[in-house]
Amino acid sequence: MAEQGPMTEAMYYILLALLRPGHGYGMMQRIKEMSGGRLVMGPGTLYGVLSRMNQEGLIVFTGEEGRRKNYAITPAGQEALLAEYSRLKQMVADGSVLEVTG
Amino acid sequence: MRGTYRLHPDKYALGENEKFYSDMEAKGWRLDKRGIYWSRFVPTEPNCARYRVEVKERAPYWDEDGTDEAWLAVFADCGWEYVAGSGMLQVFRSPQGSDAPELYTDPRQQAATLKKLEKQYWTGWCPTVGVFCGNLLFYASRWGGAAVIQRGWVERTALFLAVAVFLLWLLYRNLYGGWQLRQTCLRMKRGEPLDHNPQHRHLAHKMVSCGLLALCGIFLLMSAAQQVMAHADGLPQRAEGPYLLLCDLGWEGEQVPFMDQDSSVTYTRSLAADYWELREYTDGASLFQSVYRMRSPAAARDFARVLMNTSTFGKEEGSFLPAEAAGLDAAWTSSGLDIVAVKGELVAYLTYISSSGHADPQVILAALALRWA
Repeated sequence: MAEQGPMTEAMYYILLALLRPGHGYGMMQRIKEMSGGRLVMGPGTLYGVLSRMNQEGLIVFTGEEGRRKNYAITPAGQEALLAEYSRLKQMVADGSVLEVTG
Repeated sequence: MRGTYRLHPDKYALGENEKFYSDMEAKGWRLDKRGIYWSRFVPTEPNCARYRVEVKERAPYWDEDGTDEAWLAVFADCGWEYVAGSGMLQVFRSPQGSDAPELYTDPRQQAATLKKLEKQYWTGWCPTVGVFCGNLLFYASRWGGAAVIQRGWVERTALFLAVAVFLLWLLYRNLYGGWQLRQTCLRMKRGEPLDHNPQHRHLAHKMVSCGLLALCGIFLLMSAAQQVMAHADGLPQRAEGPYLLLCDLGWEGEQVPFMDQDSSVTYTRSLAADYWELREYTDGASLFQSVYRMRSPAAARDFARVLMNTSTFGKEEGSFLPAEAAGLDAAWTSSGLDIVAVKGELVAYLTYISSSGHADPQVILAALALRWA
């Protein structure tokens, strides 16, 4: 597995969406819901990120549903997701000073 | 179904390709197939469809892991129908009124997909140029070094120019494409999305590219014309060009075929010279000649050195020695078999072989001086 730096927004949301295994299109729908419609992921972005994360062992191919491939997050992926979540939380906490200074 | 073919924009011009296909469908022509240079269209109702290109190599047909199927399924689910593709460019279409999302919402991510295509542009010309240079080196190393190339240049100038211009075009086209893709990548990395409706037409580039191709075509035609117009004839009774016949050397033997070849003289005209190739076989003597009328006396003198270096018997350094040459500008002989002579724009290379001993080079040179007087 490649060493993880800060994740891109697309990676973060795809891993989040894959907490419930599913196929590409389902992931896109879930990401749109989770982000309140803010993030509409294109198929090129989605497929590129899926391929890369599959190679890096963050997700795994679990089976097929017609022409679609199903994926699930791996323990390494969960670990990376949690690490990213902690990092983001820490960043928000560090930035809380902004609320005071307005 | 009646279709039409159109030249599509080059691969580096991603936005131009998308616009080209969208414009064609708006005119009632829907993309059916994409080749390396041409796209085939079939008639359709004029539509405002969106076309997008994805830079990705398709998996080979024997690949059974379904990679492409899954990839196409994701695009299809999002409203992008796969239409056609060639090499690394795949074309998707979204019909009028569809709310299909753009293929890439993050331009930085799309920039990463262009790396392989960019590399193809930077290095794509290397195999062709490498094969050409390899062949050139092979021939040169086997048959007389750089001189054999110089001789080829004089005898097949148009063909050499056609190949040189083609290689130049290949290099220019690839470097321009690579540079354009680099600029696109840099813009994407700065967060600028691909322009799907570009107005830039690369007119200067197209003019240079078409100009080079046209020039290459002209030289090819000239080369073909040279080939067609070169004619081998039987030997005349008396020389009809600046060459010698055995009878000019006092040899009256009967002409006979040698290894199934009859005596002949071939006249050819290249861009650098008019030249005559002559082979004459008689019962007891043979005479081989290459006589060139160059475009200037200086060129003739330079070419004499090339002829010595590509001669049959005198290739080694120092084989040719200067000879007395009344009526000629200069002459050289090697072992009495090979002779090279120059006068004005004329330069000749002769090989004389006789069963009754070698002819005196002075006799041949005197006859040549008389012929060229």
